[in-house]
Amino acid sequence: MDRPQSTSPPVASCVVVEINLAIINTEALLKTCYWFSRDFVCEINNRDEKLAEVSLTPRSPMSASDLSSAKEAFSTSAMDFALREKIEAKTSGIRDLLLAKAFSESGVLEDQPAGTFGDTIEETKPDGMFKILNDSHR
Amino acid sequence: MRLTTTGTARNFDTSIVGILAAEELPLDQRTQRIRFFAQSDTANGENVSGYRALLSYDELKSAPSVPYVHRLRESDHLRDGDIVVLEGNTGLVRSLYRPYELHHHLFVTERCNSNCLMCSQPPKDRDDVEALTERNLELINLIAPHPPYLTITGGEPTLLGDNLFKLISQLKLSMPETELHMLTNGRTFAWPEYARRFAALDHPKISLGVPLYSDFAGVTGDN
Amino acid sequence: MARVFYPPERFAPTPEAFHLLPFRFTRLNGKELLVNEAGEFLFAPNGTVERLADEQLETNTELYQDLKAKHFVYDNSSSPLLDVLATKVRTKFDHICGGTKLHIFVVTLRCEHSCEYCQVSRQTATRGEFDMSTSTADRAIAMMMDSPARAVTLEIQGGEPLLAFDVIQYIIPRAKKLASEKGKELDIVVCTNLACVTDDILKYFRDEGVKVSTSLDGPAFLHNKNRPRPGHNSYEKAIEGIERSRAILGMESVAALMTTTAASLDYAVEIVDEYVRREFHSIFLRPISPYGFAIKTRHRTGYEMGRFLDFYKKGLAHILKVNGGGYRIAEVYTQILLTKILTPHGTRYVDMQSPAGEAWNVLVYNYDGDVYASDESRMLAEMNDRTFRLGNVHKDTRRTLFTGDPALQLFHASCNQALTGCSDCAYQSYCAADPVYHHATQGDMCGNRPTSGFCSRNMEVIKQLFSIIEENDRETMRILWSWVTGERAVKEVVECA
Repeated sequence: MDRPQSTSPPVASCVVVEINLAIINTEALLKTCYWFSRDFVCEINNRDEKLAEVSLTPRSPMSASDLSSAKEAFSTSAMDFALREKIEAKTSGIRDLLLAKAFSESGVLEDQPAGTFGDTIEETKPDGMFKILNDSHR
Repeated sequence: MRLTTTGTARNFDTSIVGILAAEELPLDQRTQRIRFFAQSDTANGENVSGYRALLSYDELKSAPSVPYVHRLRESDHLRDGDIVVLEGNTGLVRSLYRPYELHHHLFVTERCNSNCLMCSQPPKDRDDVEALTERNLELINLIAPHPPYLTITGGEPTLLGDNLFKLISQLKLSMPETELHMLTNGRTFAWPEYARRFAALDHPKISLGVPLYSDFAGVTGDN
Repeated sequence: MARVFYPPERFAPTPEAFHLLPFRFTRLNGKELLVNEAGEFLFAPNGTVERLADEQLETNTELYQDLKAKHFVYDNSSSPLLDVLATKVRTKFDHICGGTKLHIFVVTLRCEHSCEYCQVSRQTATRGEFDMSTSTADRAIAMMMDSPARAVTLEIQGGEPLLAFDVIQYIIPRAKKLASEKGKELDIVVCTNLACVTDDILKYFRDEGVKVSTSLDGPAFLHNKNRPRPGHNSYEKAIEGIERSRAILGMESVAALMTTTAASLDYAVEIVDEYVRREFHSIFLRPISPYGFAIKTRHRTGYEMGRFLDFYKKGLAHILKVNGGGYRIAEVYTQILLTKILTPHGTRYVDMQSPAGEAWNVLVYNYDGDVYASDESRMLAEMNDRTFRLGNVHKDTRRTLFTGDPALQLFHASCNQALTGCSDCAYQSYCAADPVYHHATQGDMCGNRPTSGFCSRNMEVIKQLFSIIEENDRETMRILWSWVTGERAVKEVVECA
């Protein structure tokens, strides 16, 4: 490759990022590539089940140092998307429940509160408000 | 400003709520009134029939047969137009409403289901709800002119159960323009049924003031 | 019965395990920014998210308490408060409730201005040719009042609506009558350049309780450049119109909006100063519209968006300075976003909602009876793109409008919760979806996030606001909070008894 005549740093053509698929699953990898697709052409090559290589080719001329920063940014971003996948896996069930409650026709309140009523007079009444409130929940 | 005083009660053993009249009134204007004789006023010869009760700083030497409280400890905190309650059993005179004040409170119970360290009105576990509700319903009847705001307070007002709904409904009916502020710890609203019933009151101008001292339930640890 | 207090230890449990509630996150200014499902946020030190994901965070720390208080985690020492969190989510989406609330009537396309960015005006048209007929008006009014919303807003636009004042006079009493019959609240606004307003027209508006919204792009040189008209005096006419309207309708009934053009972008400070000079107390630094140049030229909106962001930042900084000097003026775009960030509420502004406000919350009834999902949808139709034409008042019912193909296609791309790039974005709760914008600029209603001008603009502004929040300058936050809570002072309601 010829060196450019100007004193500006050499223009690099592409950089390759190694991805450990045990940590960063395909979903996370694709999402990372999606965001980088504005400035780079991203090509994913699966070496084996555990390792993938992503080549990032800049869409417009980029210096070597910028390209190196982009590689770092890609790795960080991929880790973050992997974290998001992890969190989503742990919370999607409760999220569905939460949204079902939030948008239910019958309104949000269904559960009885935990704990004691706190007023000794009311608690001792056989037909007091406390008993009524506890018995009448749907 | 002083809220209570005591004297000697005669001819009744219940509670009487009424509006103080510092001047004699015509017969047809007396039904809601308590004729009030301040220090150095005298009742000499005046016809005192038709009032709900009499209230006098000095001894009423004529010993009328109507309900009265006399020989008060203090009376300079009482003015014409004040709404007071007289206790026949104890001779207690409690001021409930002063039209000239800016802030008005409807006190509904001393009971509370919380036990806050900083409470300025430590609760009492005595069921005062029925008596206070009856008194407050009468008070609502007598309040004139209708104030722009009224604060409902206690203790914990939601412990009144249906009696609170009765009070709020009566306020909605007789002074619909008065904005209500209710001080509450809010805990009873955690029961969905209670929240629904409260919402069903549909008072157009009511807000709940719930004191919150933290966003976290618990004390901060040593860290 | 004496009451005793429990010892402090009873209130300081240290749970051994905790569980996650759903949340999104991003990195900002060297910290992690976490946002929960209801849009509540927390700044946390780097590494927090990883520890949360592995459930390896010490529970006896203030950080843990903050995470618990803001619904990021829960443990067995108290209920997960799902009902509370669900109520917050429901509150955030309150704008969905009730169906379409904003109904825009385009009573005429005639206008005596010839503004470059306007796609729709007809200067040479004869009276009647491009005006709304009475039968169309009747059908549109019926369609509007068929909305389930308890309160609706009728916004009268054009062209220049005052050129069809007779149509306005036809519509207003009929709309009021139908609103009263159906027990609905009705607000009426007329959007006009005020160039041909008369005292009689203003008195009519005053008597009918109609508000006026007009355009003020900035000082004279800018306003006139943007809005050519015979006589080159659009600015002078606008100011005269504003003064007259205020005199007859009252200050609170006259509002001004600016249109941001490429020319405006260098004059943020001058525009704000003009609004202050004219005694306005709110200004909307609206994003530059893509519908003029982007569609025709199809070039990337990156440069324009960068210039708009500079314009916004300069404008906001100057507005904060003006407020600091004692003159109260709120910036509306900031106010909308801060309301979403700092309070449990969403927004009523149809262009910053998810599900997108198009059709859900705004309908545009054109002079010919065609019904569009938004004003931009109508502009597209003027350029022969009828993708967002939902139907026609003479042929459709509300049901067929909302279940027709144009509407359904629109709805598919309306929720940012389900769009690529948005679905795990930390700013999702504060941002919005805009299928019409993305269709117009990218040829795809869902849009391509990394190249979307809508995304980059909103994201940059939201980041800017979070930087300000994190900096927590006392005076700045006081000013910003005053915009969020509005003019009413918070009443000192109670002294605890």
